[in-house]
Amino acid sequence: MSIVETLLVYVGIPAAIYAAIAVLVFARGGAKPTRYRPGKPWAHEPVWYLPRPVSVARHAAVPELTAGASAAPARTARGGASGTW
Amino acid sequence: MAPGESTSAESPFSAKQLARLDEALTLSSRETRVQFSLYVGELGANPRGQAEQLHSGLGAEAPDSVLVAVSPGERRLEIVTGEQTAKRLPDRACALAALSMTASFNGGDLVGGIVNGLRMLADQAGKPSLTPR
Repeated sequence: MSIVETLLVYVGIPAAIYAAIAVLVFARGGAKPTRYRPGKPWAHEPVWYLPRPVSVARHAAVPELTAGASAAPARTARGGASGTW
Repeated sequence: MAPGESTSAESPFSAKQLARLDEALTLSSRETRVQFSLYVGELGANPRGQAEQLHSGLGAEAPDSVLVAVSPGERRLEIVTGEQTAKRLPDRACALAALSMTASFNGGDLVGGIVNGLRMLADQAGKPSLTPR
């Protein structure tokens, strides 16, 4: 084997394998949402999830939800629980 | 939140986590005919009052609804029951679910805690009675 061939086989191929593995490791996780850690601030807009409606007709009956300050409707809460961590 | 830090409009959860949350919300609501809803965001200086206000924002659905409000930034959880749901979910049952949820949250598992908490609330609420309301 010539010097060039030796270099390609013994240096080029291992380097290519390392590069391929590095790409596989670091290519993922670009758009991964930040993991929650207790005590860290929560830098996200508030979200409100409702269960999927059984039918579309019922979905139309659900009023549009407004978070935050609005004209205070009658109090509907009757009980519940609170917790901190 | 620290001043100068902006909130991102992106969903705080990955697609897989959203699917888990959606499944938990939908299945518990269909099983029990109680409308469970989940709020994740800031609750402000008066978390209980803010959560109750959000609950009343549900309008006609409010008596049959249970609101689970989680504020990860303030480390605060509120469970609010309505007129009908309070009969099926006494405060003691809600407190037990809240305890389980906060234990998971403390370990950093936001979605797991919410899913398990909903499961517990749904188990406690049970099947709806056969008599039409």
